[in-house]
Amino acid sequence: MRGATQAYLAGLREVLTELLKESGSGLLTPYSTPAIITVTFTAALAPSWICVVLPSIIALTMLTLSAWGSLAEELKGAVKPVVTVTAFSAFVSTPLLLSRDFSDAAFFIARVVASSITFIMLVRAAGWSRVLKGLRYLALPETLVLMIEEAVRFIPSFLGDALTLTSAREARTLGDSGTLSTWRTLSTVASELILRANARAQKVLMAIKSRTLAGSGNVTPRSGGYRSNVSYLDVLLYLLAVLMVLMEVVITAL
Amino acid sequence: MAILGPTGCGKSTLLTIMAGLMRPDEGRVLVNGEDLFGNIKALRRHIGLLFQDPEHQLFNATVYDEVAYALRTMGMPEDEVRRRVLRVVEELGIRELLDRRPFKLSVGEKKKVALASVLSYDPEVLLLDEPTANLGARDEALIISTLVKARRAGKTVVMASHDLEFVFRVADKAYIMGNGTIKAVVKGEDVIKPEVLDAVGLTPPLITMVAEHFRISYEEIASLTRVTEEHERQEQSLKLGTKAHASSFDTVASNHGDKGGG
Repeated sequence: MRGATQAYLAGLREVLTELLKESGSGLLTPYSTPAIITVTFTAALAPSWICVVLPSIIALTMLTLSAWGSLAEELKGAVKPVVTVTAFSAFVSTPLLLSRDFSDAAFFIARVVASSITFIMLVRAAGWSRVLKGLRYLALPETLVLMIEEAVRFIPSFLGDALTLTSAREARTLGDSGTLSTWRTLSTVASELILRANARAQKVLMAIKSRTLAGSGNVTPRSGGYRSNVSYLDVLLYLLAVLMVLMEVVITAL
Repeated sequence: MAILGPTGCGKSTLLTIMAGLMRPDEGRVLVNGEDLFGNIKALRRHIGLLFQDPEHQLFNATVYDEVAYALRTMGMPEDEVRRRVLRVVEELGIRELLDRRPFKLSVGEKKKVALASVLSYDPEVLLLDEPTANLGARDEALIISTLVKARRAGKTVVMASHDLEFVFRVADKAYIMGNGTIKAVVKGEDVIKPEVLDAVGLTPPLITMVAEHFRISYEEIASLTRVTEEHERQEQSLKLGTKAHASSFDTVASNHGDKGGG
């Protein structure tokens, strides 16, 4: 039981950490952030089955183009997060199948899963740091951007704490190893974890802040700091995003 | 410059405030006469903080992403990011770790990765919280060599430590803290002297006991162990001598090659 819990925590941490891996190509720049959000929304609000599938295809195309040099590695890395998030999304939405009309519920679940897949693949193609920088370009309040970043980066660290704590408990549990004892151990770990989560969150925030140099005016020898140039891939993603929106508007109108 | 003091005296809190990550209850932090919190976005680029526990500093998926993080937030082009990352990891001898998960590294490796993540953006002020904690002798030597390089490059290095011997070896000046206040300011070479330690209530390190037992003068110990400018110059000239020797050897070897075909 304990072994299974630890394996689950370790696996989940690995998947969520993989999700944070940055794209080394930089072919999708921070300017692509609005297009990434738009394409994800088109999947979430899709009016028809074709509109559910297309955003995922767009995302896969972008991932393929952005990782051309190391395609196999990138695709391999994307599989685990995509499968895990898909499984989670499907699992939490499954009760809908019992409470609503089957086709309606299935369509809803498909939209949830498709938007998750689209977002994961597009963020992986661009890299988290570029997506967040894009949010700063959109003049979102710094606190909000930091909150998003912290939420994303905190979870793997928190899972690491959970793993350490369960291992420490296991190492010092010398008596009865029955199911009841296991659950008792897990429940005490849970309460301690809640207490530790706050401290960990503050540390992660400090670590992020200490190395977030966006907005520092005299960052480079040139005045104004480094600015990204819009890439061809950005333009392509914008075009596809606009096409998706138009397609959905037309389908909804009809 | 070093901040010395027992555990819990406020060294880390002071460094966190100096890095602009925590606001002081009272007083101001001035950087070149400018209020740090008045222009934190611009000034943060000039300050690099190495956390006491590297586990708290690392939050990316790979070591490469970790070292590249600050550069990417600056919006630097990816080829420039790569160039800088490779330069720093070569310097710290951690190139083989680039694709590894930071949380799977040993404490010493994590510390080096955390240091690389700070050095990558070349800050003018380095704030190091217990830089040698949990490190072996080899890694400690690497940290010292990094500090020496930073000092030579004209950077300001402030380190908080309770490692008296380390401070004795590298610091020019030491601020000794106790209960959240500065108790004394002494020269780096004086931090192991019993009268200084007694005055501030710190336990003497092994080096002090050895000096007392064998009646070796502190000046003699300082001349043997302190990493001074003179020491650096000697090391540098030794390295240059070795290089010159190696290159003359190469010349001889190539001449042999020319004559006898190898």
